[in-house]
Amino acid sequence: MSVAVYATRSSSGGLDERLAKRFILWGGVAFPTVVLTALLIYGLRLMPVLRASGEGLTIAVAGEQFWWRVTYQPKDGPPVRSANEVRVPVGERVAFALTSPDVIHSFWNPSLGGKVDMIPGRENRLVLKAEKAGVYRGVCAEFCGASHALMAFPVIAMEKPDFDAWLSGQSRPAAEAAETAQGKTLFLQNGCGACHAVAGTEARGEVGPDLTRFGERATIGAGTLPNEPEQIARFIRETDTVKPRVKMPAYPALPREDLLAIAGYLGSLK
Amino acid sequence: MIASTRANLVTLITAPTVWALHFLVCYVTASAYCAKTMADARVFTGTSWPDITVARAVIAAATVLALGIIALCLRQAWGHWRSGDVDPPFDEPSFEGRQGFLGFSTILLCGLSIIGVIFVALPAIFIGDCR
Repeated sequence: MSVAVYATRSSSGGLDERLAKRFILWGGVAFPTVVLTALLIYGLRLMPVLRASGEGLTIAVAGEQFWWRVTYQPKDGPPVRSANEVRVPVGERVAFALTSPDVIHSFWNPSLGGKVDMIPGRENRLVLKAEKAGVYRGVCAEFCGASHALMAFPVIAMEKPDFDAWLSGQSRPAAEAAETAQGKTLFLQNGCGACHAVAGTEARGEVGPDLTRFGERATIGAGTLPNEPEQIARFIRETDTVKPRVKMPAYPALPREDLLAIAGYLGSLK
Repeated sequence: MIASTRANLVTLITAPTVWALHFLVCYVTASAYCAKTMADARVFTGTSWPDITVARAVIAAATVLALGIIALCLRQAWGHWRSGDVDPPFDEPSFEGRQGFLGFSTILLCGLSIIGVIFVALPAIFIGDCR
């Protein structure tokens, strides 16, 4: 622009022809060619890094209406089931296998990487690497139904030793306290185990989220409510109000004490 | 390419045509080769990605061939441009004027095509597998 102003304002008789030719050759041909080549090479060198493979741990995540089914598949060791929360080791490239059994969802954790659609019948791949420990909020980024907006997942990045200890601890059933025995009985009596699994109990349902370490999660209903006894009770009592069109039926007939007992039991699963 | 002493439209479009064909060869080679070799490759097998040396060699050969043809074209166009004693803008209805115009246009298109061919081939240098 400065050159344009100079050229139009200049009162001199115009540029020398050789100078003009040289200006066109260097400014119009050589300079853009060199700049574009440098930018292209820089971009191409970055591309293989973006598509690097994971370093061993694969986490299968299925987006379902309206929650996340999470299965850790360590290189050596049995798979670990969880839901609505993803834990990853800091500094390690973790591969995600993204699927969906119902409609199109999209796995998006903006702090860690771009969004990748979860398409029924396909397995999409994403590799994420957390540089710092912390909690990174993720969401479903493709409209998937009435509770699309109530479908969040935190990615919790843990230091590698902590993560390894956590993952190996996951293969053991959660500890059970005597004071929550009644809640457990109510949980099983009311048929919750038909849809939910709690490792080490008769609850082996696979329709809904795995509740084995429910007490470890910060939220319930995939980021819908805080994980507190009152809120768990509310979620069970008026599920369809809290989370419209969710598959789980509401249990308005359960007495409040029973709801709180079940909530106490679930909250103790750590 | 066909006319050695007289510039014509065929010499003018040779370089961009070679560029277009080179583009086609590179992309068809890479996509066909990756589609074949990746058919059995699982996404999560980690480091065992199919080797694409063959595809890279084909792209390298196509690039050398394309640059060679464009270089010949450029040499010829240079001759056409320099043959007459006419200066730009080559708008006189004369043989020299036409030679100068077509020769100079061909030189510019050759330059553009050389850059185009190199840019198309660059990914094969930096990207070593089908991801």
